[in-house]
Amino acid sequence: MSEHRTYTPDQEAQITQRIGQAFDFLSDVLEDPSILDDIPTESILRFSEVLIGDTVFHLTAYPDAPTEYWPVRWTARVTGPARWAAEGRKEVRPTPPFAGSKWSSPPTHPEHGHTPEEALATLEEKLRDSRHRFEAGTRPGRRSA
Amino acid sequence: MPEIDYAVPLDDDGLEWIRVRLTTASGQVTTFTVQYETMLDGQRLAVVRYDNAHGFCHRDILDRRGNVIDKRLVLGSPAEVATLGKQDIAANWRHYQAAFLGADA
Repeated sequence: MSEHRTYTPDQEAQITQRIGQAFDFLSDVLEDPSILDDIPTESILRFSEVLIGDTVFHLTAYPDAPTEYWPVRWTARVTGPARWAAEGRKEVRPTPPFAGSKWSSPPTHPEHGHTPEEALATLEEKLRDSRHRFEAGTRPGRRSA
Repeated sequence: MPEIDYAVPLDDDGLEWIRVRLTTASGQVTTFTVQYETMLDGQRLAVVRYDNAHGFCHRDILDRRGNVIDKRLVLGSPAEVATLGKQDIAANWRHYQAAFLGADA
């Protein structure tokens, strides 16, 4: 039996965009397979992009394993370009004055939220607020000369 | 070899999906599959996929029973194939879906 589905132009655009994002994620993983160490298998993935200067940052959100304190929580991390994905995996000690805030870690470090949208938006905001560092071509967390 | 499987919801109703499957060895991706899936009768069924199983990259178009009805060799590195797959499925998913749903089971 045949079936036909109707989508609005906005819905079609969303589907097309997410297809592109899924393949971009594959490209990022092929370039830097260590991304797979961070994201558990069987995860549901959601994506967004942030353009800062000449760089398009690929952000990926996935659900965390439930805990007593966080029954539902999503993590968003930078998965591309590879340079910034690697930066986001480096361990750092939280800066005391900012501990617990988004400024307690470098701008490429993961952020969390109750929904994928919230986690992605928080990471996106942190990246945008640090745009001067990326636009200056310096590594996050370092001052330009 | 570790196998990794991700699902990407494409719409808000859970009807359209991209599934990404990868196997790795020694920290490198050895095989990948990216397939567009659609929900039919409560099941997610593959409509079209790009993968590099069997040592070469190819695109498969499937029917409702999971039979490959068209297989096409895709030349290029895995990264190039990812780019081609993105362009193809992003541009043609409606066509692939209509052919898949329109065909009698």
